[in-house]
Amino acid sequence: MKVNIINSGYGNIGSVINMFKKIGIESTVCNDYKDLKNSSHIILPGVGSFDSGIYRLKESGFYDVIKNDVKKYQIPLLGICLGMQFLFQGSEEGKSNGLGLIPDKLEKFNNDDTKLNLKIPHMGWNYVSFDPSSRLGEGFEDNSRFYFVHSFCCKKLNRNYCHGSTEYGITFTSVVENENFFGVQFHPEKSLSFGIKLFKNFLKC
Amino acid sequence: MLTKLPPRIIPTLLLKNKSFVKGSKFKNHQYIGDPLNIIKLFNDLQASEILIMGINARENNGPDYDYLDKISSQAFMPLSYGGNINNSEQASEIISRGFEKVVLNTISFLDPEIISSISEDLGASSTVGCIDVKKNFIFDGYKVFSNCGKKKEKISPQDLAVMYQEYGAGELIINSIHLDGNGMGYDISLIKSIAQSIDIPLIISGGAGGLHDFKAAIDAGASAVSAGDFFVYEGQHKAVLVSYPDYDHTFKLLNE
Repeated sequence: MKVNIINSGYGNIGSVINMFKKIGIESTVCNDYKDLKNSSHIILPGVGSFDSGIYRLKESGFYDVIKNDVKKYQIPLLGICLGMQFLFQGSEEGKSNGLGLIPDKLEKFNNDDTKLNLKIPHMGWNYVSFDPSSRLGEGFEDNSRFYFVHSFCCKKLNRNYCHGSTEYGITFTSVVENENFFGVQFHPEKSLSFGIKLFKNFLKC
Repeated sequence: MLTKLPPRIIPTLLLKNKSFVKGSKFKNHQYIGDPLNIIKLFNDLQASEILIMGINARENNGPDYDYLDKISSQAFMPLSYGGNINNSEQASEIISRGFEKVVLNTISFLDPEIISSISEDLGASSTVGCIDVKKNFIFDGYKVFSNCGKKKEKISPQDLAVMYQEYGAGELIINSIHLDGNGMGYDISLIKSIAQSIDIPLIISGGAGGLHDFKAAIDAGASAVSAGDFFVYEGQHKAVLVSYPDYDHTFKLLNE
């Protein structure tokens, strides 16, 4: 098993590395797209803004490799938070094209949607209802909780790829799975034993 | 308040050199234990988030980044750090060491523009304003303090709360110095008066003695509750014992 973590320049990958260590798996940080060779699993973290993240992925060559080789060789890839958002076609947050591996776009949380005085960003622990067919959600109970920090979300619940959802005024897609591409809107690396279990499920993919 | 969301119950741990300590009314700090061991215990107990305050970071000329690194490597929950953060570079350094939020206090009185620059760089959700407040029982008023409770400031806690929000803080933590370590309950009227004046989430700290205090604070408008003694001491003689309330039990109680 060779777990590679994409360093797109942003984001706190230390916590991801530490959680893999806790599981007993060595992971490697990749600064160059060539380092992705021989990956058994790839993690795509991301913190920051959509455009700046996509820009860095393109500049560093990861963008093309994910769209082409990772897809071609069906290497399981898990996008975390903004990393999941990169998998989509685009986001209301920016102008750049996403990786386009999940059809649909991210939209901003909007208090008008919800008629509730919700704080944005959606920050804190919340529940995820996994679809029974979800590979990431295998063995999770209903009250499984994860740590979220985001202002944009996928408001469509498209059964082709939405494998888990979360309520925050509205119900949004918090888990995506499409062939070898997986994504979670929350931060498993900061979600205690729930996150450890999710990473273990991903490593089984 | 969306009571159906998981409750935010936050142990505040005071870091002095490489130890966790706890005092009373911000004084007389006693050794509690080795931070790495205590953090591991809080992982096992499923603590939903942790706040670490470096109480002598100033004497040490800034946060001990390498030690914070060690702490975060053991913590699989969201972490906040406060203690002598004076600029955006230091705040970014803390975040890069595996912390989710930085807590600002003294610098906000010297140069409030720093709050904005940190909020712009790291996002409002990573920028927490801290208000240390002491009740004056004779005049029934509140006084704000900086420098770990040592320096009296002229602003009222309500005005400071609004100032933090205007400068871009994403949430606030209020420490009631007069209740620190006494376990007699939070200052409910203080929660009410500050929660009314801001839109951002409010974390209350100081005085928690039991789960009913958490409920009272949340009912009064706090978004989250924090405590020190409650999580590290047991019994009236304050024997050190790390604990964290059971999730299902707490959730039920808070949603009653």
